[in-house]
Amino acid sequence: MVNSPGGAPGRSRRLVIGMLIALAWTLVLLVLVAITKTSGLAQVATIVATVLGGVGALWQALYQPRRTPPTMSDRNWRWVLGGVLAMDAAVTVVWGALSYHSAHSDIDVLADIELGNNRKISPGEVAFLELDSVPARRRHLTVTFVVTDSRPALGLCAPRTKLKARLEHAGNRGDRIDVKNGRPTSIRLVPGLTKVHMEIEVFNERDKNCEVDLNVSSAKLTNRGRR
Amino acid sequence: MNWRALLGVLLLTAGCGPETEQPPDRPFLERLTVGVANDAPGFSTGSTNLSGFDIDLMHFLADSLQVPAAPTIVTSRNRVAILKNRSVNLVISNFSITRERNEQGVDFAGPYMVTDQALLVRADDHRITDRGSVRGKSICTEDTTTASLVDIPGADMNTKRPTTRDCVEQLAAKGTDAVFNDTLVLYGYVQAHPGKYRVVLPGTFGQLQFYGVAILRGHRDECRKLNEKIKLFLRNDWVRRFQDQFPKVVEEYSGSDDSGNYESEFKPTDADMESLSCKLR
Repeated sequence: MVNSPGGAPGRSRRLVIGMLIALAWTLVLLVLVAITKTSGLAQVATIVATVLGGVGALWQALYQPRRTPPTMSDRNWRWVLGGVLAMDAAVTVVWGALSYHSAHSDIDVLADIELGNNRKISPGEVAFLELDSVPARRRHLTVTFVVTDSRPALGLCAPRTKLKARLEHAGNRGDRIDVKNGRPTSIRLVPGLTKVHMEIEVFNERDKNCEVDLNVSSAKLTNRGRR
Repeated sequence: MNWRALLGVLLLTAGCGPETEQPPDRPFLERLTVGVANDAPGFSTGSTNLSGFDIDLMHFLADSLQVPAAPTIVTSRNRVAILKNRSVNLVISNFSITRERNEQGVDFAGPYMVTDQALLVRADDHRITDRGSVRGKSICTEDTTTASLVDIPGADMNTKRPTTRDCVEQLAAKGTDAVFNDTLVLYGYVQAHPGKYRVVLPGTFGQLQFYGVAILRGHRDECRKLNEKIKLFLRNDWVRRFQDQFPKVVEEYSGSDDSGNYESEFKPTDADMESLSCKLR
């Protein structure tokens, strides 16, 4: 295929090596896209760019060198090769950045949260929070609990109610963490956790009859711890 | 006079005449008209010369704000309506802070008192001794109070009367087995009728009640001002006034047994003030 370093009818050795690099790079990107869990903009951008780059590189490396005489000079082919390599480089950078962002951004799991025993809870009782599947690995689950009076006509419980939460994993209970009403609280997740089970204990130092309802106003999987 | 001359005269009259000053809005707390009860021994009783803890607080607020105060008798039924129709600008009438009252547009400065809830029984009646012994007993409550909303398991809660005094009279006549209300309200009756009644099972049923000074929504600044004065009252006067008005409670809650000390039981904490007062904008 490579007849002379000068050009026609084949390509110069350096040009062919460049073409092979571009082709290999493009293929590597395609494989990475296939094996990496990316989604949204990152995936679309990568696929479009790599397909374009791949078609260009393949056409250039395999089809064009067989034609005699070449339709384009080596100089022009270098431009095309440069374009393909530039596109591969751009895709690598953008894909990398988007993948990093996607791997570290907060994931809203409010809709997936389920609460149990969260109505009319008396001091000393425990409510449960469940997240049946953890969609991606994150270091913390940040939850905002909201306490309201179960019977608002009867008296005031919510302002003096305290909560403590702890994660339960494979039969082991984590440390109890103080939870403030209406404020986000971060619970550190054990690596490899596929589901979350949390106990939330209700305290009221002065009134053992105070019943409250417990709700969650926000829940995010995040890599940023917050107390 | 042509129209130009007429316009000139009008402009002259408007611009150069004696200035008619718009009277400034009178401060809301220029004068305290305070809704108080007259049938709550310990808190406020009497007809012409009212006395009690709520009355002491009213005078303290008036003195520290340096404004006159005039009490108006209210009941638990009409105190929200009277506040809302602006017949009074404050209500100090063992009025519990609740979210529902907040939602009705009533804000509260304070609290100035905390009390759990209990049962009042005849002194010679020893049938009610624990949670289970209330089963099947007839219990009277004052309707429109928080106590009337409490459901005591197994008890007959159908006896509702317009006032606690009515319930106490019914108790005396053996028409009911017990009266359920705030512990301090019940102790007021114990003091008013020595040897006739006892307070039992405090804190067993119901919830803690936080009494506040009620003020209509939209007076947040005034509410905060009152709050500062209530803090002063709690710091300087509360213990003395409590001892004066609730000697029986001081005796029962001396701190020598499990019942605790009256100050730790009934005096609001700074945290209570922070979390409960002046919540409405």
